[in-house]
Amino acid sequence: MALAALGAAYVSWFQASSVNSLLFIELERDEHSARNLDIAAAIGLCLCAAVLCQPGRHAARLASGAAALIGLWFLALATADQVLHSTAFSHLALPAAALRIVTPILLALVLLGRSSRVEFGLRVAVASTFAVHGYEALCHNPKFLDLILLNLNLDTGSPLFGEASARIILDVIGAVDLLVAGLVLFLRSPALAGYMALWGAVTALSRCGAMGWEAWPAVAVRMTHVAGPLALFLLWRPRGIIKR
Amino acid sequence: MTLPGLKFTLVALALGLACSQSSPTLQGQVPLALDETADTGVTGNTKGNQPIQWRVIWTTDPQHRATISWSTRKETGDNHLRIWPKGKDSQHRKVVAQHNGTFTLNVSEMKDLDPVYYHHVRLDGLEPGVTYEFELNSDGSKSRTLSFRSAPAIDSTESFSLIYGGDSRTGKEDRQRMNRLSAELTSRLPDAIAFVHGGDYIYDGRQFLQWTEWMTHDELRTTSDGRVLPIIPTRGNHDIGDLYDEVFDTPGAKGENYYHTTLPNGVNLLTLNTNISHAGDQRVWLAGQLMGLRPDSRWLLAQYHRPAYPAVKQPGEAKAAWVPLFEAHDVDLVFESDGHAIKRTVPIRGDKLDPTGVVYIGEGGLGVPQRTPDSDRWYLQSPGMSGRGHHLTTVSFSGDQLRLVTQGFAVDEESGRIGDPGGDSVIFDEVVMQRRGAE
Ligand SMILES: [Fe+2]
Repeated sequence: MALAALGAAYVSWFQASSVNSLLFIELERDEHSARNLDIAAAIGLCLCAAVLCQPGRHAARLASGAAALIGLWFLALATADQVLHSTAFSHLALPAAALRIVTPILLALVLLGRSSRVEFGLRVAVASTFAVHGYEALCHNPKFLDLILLNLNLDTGSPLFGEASARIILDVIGAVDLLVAGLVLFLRSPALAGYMALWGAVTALSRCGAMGWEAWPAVAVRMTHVAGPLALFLLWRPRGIIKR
Repeated sequence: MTLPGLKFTLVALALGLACSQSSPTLQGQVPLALDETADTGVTGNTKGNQPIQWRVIWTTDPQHRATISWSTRKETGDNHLRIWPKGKDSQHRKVVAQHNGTFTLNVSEMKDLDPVYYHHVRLDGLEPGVTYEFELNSDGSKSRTLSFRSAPAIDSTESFSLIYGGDSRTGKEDRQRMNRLSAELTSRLPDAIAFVHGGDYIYDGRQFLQWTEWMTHDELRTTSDGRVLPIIPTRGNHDIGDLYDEVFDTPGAKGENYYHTTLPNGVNLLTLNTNISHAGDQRVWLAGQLMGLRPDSRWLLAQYHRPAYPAVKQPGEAKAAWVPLFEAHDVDLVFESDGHAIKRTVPIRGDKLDPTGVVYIGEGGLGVPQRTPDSDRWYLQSPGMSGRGHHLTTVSFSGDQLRLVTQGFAVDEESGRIGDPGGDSVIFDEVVMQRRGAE
């Protein structure tokens, strides 16, 4: 969670968040206000990350607030993306970002000792994120094609994998994503949750594989794609450690 | 961490969320009928078969080919143009529009809007470097006489200029001002042959109402004597959907929209599409083009929308997929858009300053509010530059030199809009590049 917050903080501080774009370009707020909000968000996210990294009973309420704030910022980012029409799939930005939004908020609830509906919320968020990504994969989202091609092909003039092969791979990925998105709603399978956490890690890390280390913020903000399914795995594994 | 600090952050975040949720109607979604636009150059537009929204489009082989397009508000059966070399009206020929159709309306537009029709005449067999006059005709209604010049021959050594700009999706008054500036520059630069548009014409490419406004505003690029500068279009991330192909007659193949434009005097321009896979078929095509073109190119150029070396945001996939090819084949100059700022990078090779590297300019200022660039980025340091202002860049080729002049209007600091729309344009950047191996 802290990593996700730091990734988002980096984007807000050194680049421009989609909330900034929405405020300045579309809503015609002045640039200073939009920029100041980004800076405030960056500082806030770093503070939240620091709080989350400090274990201790007394910090539970503070950590809960920090986690909730991280979730709210991701909600703001996804809302802005949804409104901005900046890609062919931006109308799906909110359900795609379900894990980024919901995981920190559920963590906040757990830290406050309110964990009754956490598992259900997490399952829905995992299903939503996997279903949207699966749908986009079946639609051959060009960004996903490039992730495959840039990760599998060395920098040569004659690639090992062509676009046609990448499209077939995306068909398989999309079908599997949709399948597991459906299954996670009905099955309490640690293997399923483990697979989803692993796949979340692979797809997050593929950003750096494709674009190099400077894409680390894109990897960091997707750590919730690992954390969400991993929490389900820990809940569902036979020798449950986390209290239900 | 202090508690007051956290409180401040909480308040700031809450305010930000409140701002984003209590938004008024987004600019760019205001309906505007064709004949409600003031000062567009369309006069007497009362009949639905009046040809309006003319544009000349170049893709490949502009020495011999061009598409001339226009719109009508009624379905018309006879759509053609008359074209003749300037001053030789007796040599006129009639060419029937080969490609006609209805602009795609989205579901909400279907309820409120009558269909609007596009007409594309695909001209072939033009003579290089000839000024042609033409007159559009739909069911007897005629446009005024307009003109454009075909590209000079590829082996011609005459000087010529391109005008480059991008990002006209919001800020419609400023968009119109920039189009008027483009017309002024076209009048001042008799050797200007084309307008290279870096994409993001409109806010939502699936909304015809936005495109029809853009096409009407685009008429403002026409000079007072009727000269139309052909447009070489690029798809921006906001230009999604079918309407882009309907407006520009599918530049490059359907679903691809990437192509090679042969310009005079050994100048070659590759237009790429950052809305589709960068690293797939497009990259294979790009590698083949660069390999074939470099030996005979005096200047090798590329243009696309999302930057590899941005002044504001994070790099797009172009950096990983295309930059290594640009460097391997010594591309000279790349046009980028999307960031809404002015930039000219240092020459870059291997992600470092290298005098033999590739220069990237941009990145979008045809009306969209201008951002403050992140001028601390290493590639924007001197001898590169960055700035803030609505801008066009004239790219002039003469002998072994290429002159870049970026000019436009200073912005209001708060809004990023043109500070004084009635004022004169200013020059933001001027630099001369020497052709590789010609020092
Ligand atoms: Fe853009």
